[in-house]
Amino acid sequence: MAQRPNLASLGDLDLASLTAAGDQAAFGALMRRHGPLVRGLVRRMGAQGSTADDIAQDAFIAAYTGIGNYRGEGSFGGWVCRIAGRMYVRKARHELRYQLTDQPIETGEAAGPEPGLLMDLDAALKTLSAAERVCVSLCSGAGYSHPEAAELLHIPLGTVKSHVKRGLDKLRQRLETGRQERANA
Amino acid sequence: MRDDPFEQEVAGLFAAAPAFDDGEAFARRGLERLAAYERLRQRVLISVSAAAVLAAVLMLARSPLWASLAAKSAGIGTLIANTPLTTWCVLAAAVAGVALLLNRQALIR
Repeated sequence: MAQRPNLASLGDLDLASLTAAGDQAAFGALMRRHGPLVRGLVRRMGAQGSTADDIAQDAFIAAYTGIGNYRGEGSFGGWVCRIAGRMYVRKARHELRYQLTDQPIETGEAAGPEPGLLMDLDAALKTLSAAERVCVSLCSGAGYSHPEAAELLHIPLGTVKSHVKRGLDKLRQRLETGRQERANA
Repeated sequence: MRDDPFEQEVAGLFAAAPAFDDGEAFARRGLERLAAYERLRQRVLISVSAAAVLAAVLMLARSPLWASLAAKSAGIGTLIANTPLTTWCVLAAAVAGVALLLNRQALIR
């Protein structure tokens, strides 16, 4: 009788092959390995608590049903992140519709993160508008190109580029401030 | 892909997954939902197959061959042959609909 391999020691592609053959335990290993990344992305996009978990798990279920499409060209987590990003946008499209305008949304300088958290990407992301956060998360976190993000969000390419630029500028400023504060401490 | 070094840095920060305590619980819950999804998929498959079989029976029942056979015999054959097409369609749709509604609960649990 063939001995079962240690799933944790297998690569993503091997686990995906086992999953495609109907091995749910192999898929569990993939979820354990990449769950934090996918859940983190959805939370950073703006989903909260159990909603973020539900979206991340739905993304994994969608990945399970389309596991044959995974060719191992990138990381499995990155592939699921793209799915999760799409799912979040679809779920939140109604709320986002009124925020994905081309107009910069003032978030208020006084509402900045605590100094000790400035190095933290999560804290810095909170200073972005919802539209900026979604666009930056899609393009930098989920690996979407600007045109792909524009198509997904149903907004013009120029708007996506504006949101990404403004968002990255704010992140740069916050993260740089955090670095300086750490250096001075 | 990304020419801007800062954008690369941000992508790296995104890739550094945040640690959380209940990763095991997340995976366990995910597998439970996956199992529920699989159950749902199987039941839908069975429902659709049953509907297809019913449709095939219906087509056979409405065929001239069956009608001529049924005309020579009494009982269920006659009943099938004489039931209007619309009734069969409504019956099949109702069965499939109820099955889908019940099975949907498997994902919501």
